[in-house]
Amino acid sequence: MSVSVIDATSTGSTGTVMVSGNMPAFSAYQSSVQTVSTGTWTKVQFQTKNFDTANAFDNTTNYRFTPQVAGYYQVNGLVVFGMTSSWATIEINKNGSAFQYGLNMNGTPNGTGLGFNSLIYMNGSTDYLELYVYQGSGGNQTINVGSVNSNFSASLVRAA
Amino acid sequence: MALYDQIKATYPQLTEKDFMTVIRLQNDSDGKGDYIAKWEHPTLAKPTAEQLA
Repeated sequence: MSVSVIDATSTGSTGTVMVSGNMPAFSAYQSSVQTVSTGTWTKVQFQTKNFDTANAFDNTTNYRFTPQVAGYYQVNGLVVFGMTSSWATIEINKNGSAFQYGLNMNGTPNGTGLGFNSLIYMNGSTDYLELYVYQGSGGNQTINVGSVNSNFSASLVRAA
Repeated sequence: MALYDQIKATYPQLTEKDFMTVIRLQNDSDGKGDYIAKWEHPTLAKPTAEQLA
């Protein structure tokens, strides 16, 4: 991606002015049913994009966000299982390692909702994010499809 | 049989908490299936391929 940077100086501070065309933002959701085995951290497949301004989210192979602009990203995730009571959680994974766990909102309208939000620094070249979920129901569970039930999104909020 | 079930059959004493703390089974949704990403149980040895067969 070609990045244009405007260096700016104002009273008492310096920095980089970003324009919207250089600020990656994406939103994707699960459109095909995915089965998650009990007791197994499973990467969530988000097959359909609502938008992806910098083509930084892979929605076909690795299901990972790899922005090519360094900076701080607001990252959000939501996954809803149809089950209504079980041990379940969600994890944002950075470069293959757990970065942050989310919340279990058991009792959401469509089942067990798992969500997180975080502000994460990305180096703009190799850093990537993936979303994993865990459920301990004792059997297989499926994720509820559709943007209202499953969503992964991120947006640059401050350049490096 | 799923990997989780195979491990539970080998070590019935494992708890749900174990699978969220000292043991991590993982599936990267790449078609390669479930695998043991971490095994740090303080007393039980990582099961062998033969035990899981």
